[in-house]
Amino acid sequence: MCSSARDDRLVNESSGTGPDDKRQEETLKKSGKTTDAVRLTAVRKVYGKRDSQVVALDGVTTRFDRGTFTAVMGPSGSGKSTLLQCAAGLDQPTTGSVMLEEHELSEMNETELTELRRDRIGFVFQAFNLLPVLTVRQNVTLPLRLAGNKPARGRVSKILDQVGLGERSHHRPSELSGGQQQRVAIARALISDPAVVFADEPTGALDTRTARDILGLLRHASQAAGQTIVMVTHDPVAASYADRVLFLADGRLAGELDSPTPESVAERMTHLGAFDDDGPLPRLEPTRKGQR
Amino acid sequence: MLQLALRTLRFRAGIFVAAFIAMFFATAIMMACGGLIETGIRTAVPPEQTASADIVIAGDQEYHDSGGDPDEPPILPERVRIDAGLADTIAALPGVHQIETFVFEGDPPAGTVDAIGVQAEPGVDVGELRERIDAELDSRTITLVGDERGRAELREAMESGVTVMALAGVFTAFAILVSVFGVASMLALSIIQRQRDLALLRAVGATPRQLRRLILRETLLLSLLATALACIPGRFLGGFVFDRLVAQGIAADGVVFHQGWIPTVAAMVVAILAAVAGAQGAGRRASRIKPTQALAEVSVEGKMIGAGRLLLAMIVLAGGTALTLVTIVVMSGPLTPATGAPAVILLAIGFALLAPVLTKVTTFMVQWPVRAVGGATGELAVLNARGRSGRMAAVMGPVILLTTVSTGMLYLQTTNDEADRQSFAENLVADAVVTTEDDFDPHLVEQLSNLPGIAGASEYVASVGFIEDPPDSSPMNEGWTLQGVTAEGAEATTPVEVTAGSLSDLHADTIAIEDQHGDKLGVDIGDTITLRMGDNTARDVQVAALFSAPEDYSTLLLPADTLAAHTTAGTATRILVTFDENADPEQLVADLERVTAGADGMAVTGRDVLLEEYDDQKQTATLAIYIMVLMIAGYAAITVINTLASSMLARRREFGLQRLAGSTRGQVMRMVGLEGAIVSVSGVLLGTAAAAAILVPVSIKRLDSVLPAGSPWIYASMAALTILLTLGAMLLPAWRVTRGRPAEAALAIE
Repeated sequence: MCSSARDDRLVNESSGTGPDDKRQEETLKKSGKTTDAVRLTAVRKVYGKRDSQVVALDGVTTRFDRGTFTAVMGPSGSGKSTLLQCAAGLDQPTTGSVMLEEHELSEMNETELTELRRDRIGFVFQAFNLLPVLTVRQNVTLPLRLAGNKPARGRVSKILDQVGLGERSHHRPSELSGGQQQRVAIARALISDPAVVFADEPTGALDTRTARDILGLLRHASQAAGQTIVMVTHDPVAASYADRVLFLADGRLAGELDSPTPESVAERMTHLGAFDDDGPLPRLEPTRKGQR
Repeated sequence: MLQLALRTLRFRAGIFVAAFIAMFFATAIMMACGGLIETGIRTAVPPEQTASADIVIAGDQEYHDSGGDPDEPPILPERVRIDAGLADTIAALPGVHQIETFVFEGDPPAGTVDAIGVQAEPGVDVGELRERIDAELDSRTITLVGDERGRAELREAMESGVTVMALAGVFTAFAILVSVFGVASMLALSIIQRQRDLALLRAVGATPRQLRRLILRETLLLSLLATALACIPGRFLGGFVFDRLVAQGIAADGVVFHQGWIPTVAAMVVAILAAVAGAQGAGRRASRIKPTQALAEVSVEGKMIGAGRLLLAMIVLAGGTALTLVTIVVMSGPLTPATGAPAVILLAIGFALLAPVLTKVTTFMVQWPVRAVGGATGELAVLNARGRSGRMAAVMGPVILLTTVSTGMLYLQTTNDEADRQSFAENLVADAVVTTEDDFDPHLVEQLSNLPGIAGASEYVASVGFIEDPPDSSPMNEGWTLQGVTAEGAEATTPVEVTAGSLSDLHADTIAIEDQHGDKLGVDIGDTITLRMGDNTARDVQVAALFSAPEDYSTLLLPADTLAAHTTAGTATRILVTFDENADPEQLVADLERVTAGADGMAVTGRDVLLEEYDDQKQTATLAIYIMVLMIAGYAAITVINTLASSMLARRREFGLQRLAGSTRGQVMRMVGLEGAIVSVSGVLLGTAAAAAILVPVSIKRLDSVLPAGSPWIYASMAALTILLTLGAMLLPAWRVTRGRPAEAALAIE
């Protein structure tokens, strides 16, 4: 999604048909495959019991196309982490559907979800990404080993070289810097060639310079290797590395932004706070999504 | 997964140390116990006098018709002799080269010997010869070969073998318990500590089943290592304990300690199975961890108490209460510990299971004094204790267990000992004892009883026997105490009140029994009873008197010379003397000494000598209780230290933040100290309550006192030790983690 237009646009929340779907149908005809890696339809997530209910997600419908890099932003408590957990099959939505490629996640049990996670989904968390007792190489190959596969030697080395840790494959996480640990996490997320990589504040605990390296790696993965990447972040600079930014407020989608810059993201974030009282929709003109 | 298990064990060894120690000690103890059991089963006594014989024929020292467990027949207290005439029959058998008769002890009645040694002709198969000999023997005579032969010489060997096996069996059961519970609780703790690792594993694709398998593999690897290493101490521990038992007179000197590969392998297998059983629970807990916990900032405390745990606590407490009731209502006298000890353990476990609830209550109760003493730090300590009630309960459980089991078991023992000793002392009417090394002048008893100020004198012979006809069962099927008395002096030297007949009729083949016992058997004065004496001979005796006696007397009175003929010694070696009520005891003892001064080897002592003998016999049970308490206390101490130390190390960041907010290091330490005080004092109080639940009723029943017998120092030192241990296990690690600069700790990743 390298749209030249910087226009903001309105999210089409209410209707399942629209220009997006037409484009999708066209692609379907050409390739015989869907273009979206993940599709959420009317996802609602409620925590707690009757008297103390918290609605974390309130009817979210969206999709993440193949090979795109999407940032999810929003104020604290807007539901962005819940969105990520539901999309990644770490948590089950209360109602609604989550499709990952051709799999309907809401119909899968815990073991099936786990197996899907290790084959088709990669994770990068803010911290605690690595098992402290395993070496870099062992951490990277863990999802494959859990699946009972023998990792190909060449592939592991290639991925470690890509993240710049070819020399450090026998070190343990405690011997690495925070940025290096995060690179290992990215290598691990990519090793099984997943459909989507989910990243939850991957640069939250890093300094600006190291953060830039990590974001560069993620963008490279989506542009060069065609990986789909979904990243939750607070940081407008981090979000500007994505192709598209999704804004969340009070558990609902509050707009999206293609080809973001740090400034446009920051401005939107400020508005999100300002518009809270009047409703989720900012005064933005709709544009066609996927315009390239 | 195996690689992950291996590396986890290698690089996070710290969190497994406690589980390792629990397995290591449990295995070593089980190996030692296995050795003791093997030694008991073999009862190998290398022959000395009978070394030249291939087969030794001797009396069977086991009584097989007691009506008790046929696998554990009572051991007869006197030498069972065999017919000397048997020698000719055996000598005539084919394959017998030579026979020799033996007398090992005492002065056997005419026509009997202690054993016959048989030498086989060269080339004759000993096994076949043994079968030919067995065919000639009656059911009360047995053949012995190899290292069994020494048993004929060392009669005590069999009895000591049974005692050693019983002791070892109890220890093994406890070691298994310690192993299962120890491993389960240590592993549960290790899972809480690496919750994030396990959640991450779930997030990147480990199924719940894979996590369970991971825990199982870690445990298996750990238990293999622990059990293999335990072979080293296990090899020597058994021999060491056996030597102590020999030194205490519990095991017979001359029995050889045997610890082959069977107890070693069996202990390893049992320890590994126990560890796997413990790992099952921990694995279930691990597989419940949600992958999203890897993303969570802080770990959230779960429910206060699970329904399953509550139910289990209720069942265990109900069991403990039921056993307490049985102990008070049904069990009498020396049988009390049989249900009392398990009741203590059940009550302790029940209270420990309820710890999460009880912690809330006690924290609420002690908050005011702690706040008063500690000010702001006290306030923090109370808030911490409240906020971390899960952790508090995990620590409090073992503290309760430690307090209840140690004080409960020890005081139950001292209370019952005291009660038994009181009833023994009450039944012992005599004021002085005259002893001899060989034989009394037949007229001495009469001579003594005629001295002024003497109420009565009686010969004293003690043995054990069974009533065979009418059919009867003795206490625990271990036989009735038989006491030999002199007819004229019996009334004055026994605690009985004659209700029918007369004790002065106790001559030749007669007996006096308790009237209620007589009713039960359906016998009256003049009726005949068939006795099985301690030397395994039957004897018909006529009831000469019925009496009433204190509870637990369980003694049958026989004429001294009649009973003496069925003892190994063959004669009475003691005379009991009772003084007149108003007489001067010192004067009378001097009189007795003057009368007996002429004879060789005679001595006059107070009745203390009989009490001391009684105390010596009690040693076995006391030693067993002490070892058991030591084992459980050791396990509980390991758990307390491990739980506390790890929870302190995990609070490094919290302490750092607190210091950044203005606490001095001293204030942090004071807060931790106050938390420790809350935990330990609450734990000791709850443990005491659990122990009191059984000790108070048992004390009231047996001693007519609310307080149990025994030194209050036992309680004081157990409580002090528990509190010191708890405080030490909290303050030392807290001191260590607050050593660095606070900012560093505050920023550290937990």
